[in-house]
Amino acid sequence: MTSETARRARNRRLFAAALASLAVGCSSFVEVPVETPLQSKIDISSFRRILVAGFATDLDSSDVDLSQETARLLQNQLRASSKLQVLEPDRPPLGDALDRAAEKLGVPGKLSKQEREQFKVEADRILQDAEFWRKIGEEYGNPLIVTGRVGFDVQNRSGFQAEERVVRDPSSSQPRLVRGNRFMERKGFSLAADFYFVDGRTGQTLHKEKFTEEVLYSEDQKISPLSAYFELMDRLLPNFLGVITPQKIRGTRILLH
Amino acid sequence: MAPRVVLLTLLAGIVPAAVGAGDQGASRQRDFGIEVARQGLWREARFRFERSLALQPDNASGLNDLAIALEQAGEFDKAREAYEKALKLDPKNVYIQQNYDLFREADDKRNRKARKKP
Repeated sequence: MTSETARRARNRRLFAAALASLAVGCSSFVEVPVETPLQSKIDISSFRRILVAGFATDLDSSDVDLSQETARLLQNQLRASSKLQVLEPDRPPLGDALDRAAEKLGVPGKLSKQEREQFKVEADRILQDAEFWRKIGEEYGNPLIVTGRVGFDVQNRSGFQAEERVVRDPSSSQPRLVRGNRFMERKGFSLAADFYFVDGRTGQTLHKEKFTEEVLYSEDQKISPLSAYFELMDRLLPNFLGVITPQKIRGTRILLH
Repeated sequence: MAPRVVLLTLLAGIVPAAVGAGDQGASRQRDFGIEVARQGLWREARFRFERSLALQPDNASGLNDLAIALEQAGEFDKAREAYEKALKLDPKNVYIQQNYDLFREADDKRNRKARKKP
């Protein structure tokens, strides 16, 4: 909407308000929508750029390329809702460091359980390595760096579920509530994201927050892991964005005449 | 003069300013404030609620309405003060109590998001 159109719309609303005010007194209260501001968790006013540096994931094979999908999704969201310049490296810088760590342990894809655990410890060490992040920050012009660990799990969640049904009693023809259990075949998807917000100038972690989401589908819904991943990320994104961008709490209040 | 300014001047003349001081004037200011609040014009609404309270400082409904406008503006300490004063004046008013409960709920959310500086 142009500023001229916006001004006209506002004037029309003022006229409407003036007319309505002449007929005041019909009701004693009015419910109105309100939007109250909610500040971001960290002050990012001193940053001009943001770098999504990639994410540590487990080495177990997964149907979703978690690091790449998460980085791409967050970059898109940040471009739409943040004023910061979103940097787009050819390859997420954390990815290189993690690849080197995995190669040291053995042949990727053929690591033992113990080696995979070692890799996890090493990944956590890198995530908290201020010097590593300071160097990355220097290379990319001192941005705010977003990184962390992402995990995505698929579980069989089949089992008995409590159920209530209304049936008509054959003797009295009266409806009655019947409680019972029914076996349901269901699949559960869970997403756990541990986000780190790192100051690229110092390498220090400014904020760290873990988000977890879960969704259940019945077996006949045939949902792909990638679709489930996007649904879970969609739920998680407002909380992620709330860390660095102001949000609004929407609600209603009662005005009294 | 910009059309908006003309309109506001006209509105101010037509509706409340012509009314004298006292209960009726306060009530009309508040009613007009409510109408503009419904249109999303919260700054004007706040101005009207403040004028209403200047005429009738111990009006619980007026304090409630001002509290909402203050909340909308992000002035949460002042909003809390206004809600609490309104409830003190009219402790059995369920609408004010409901607004205050919702305000506190949102305020808790805000306080959990304690701002961190790098």
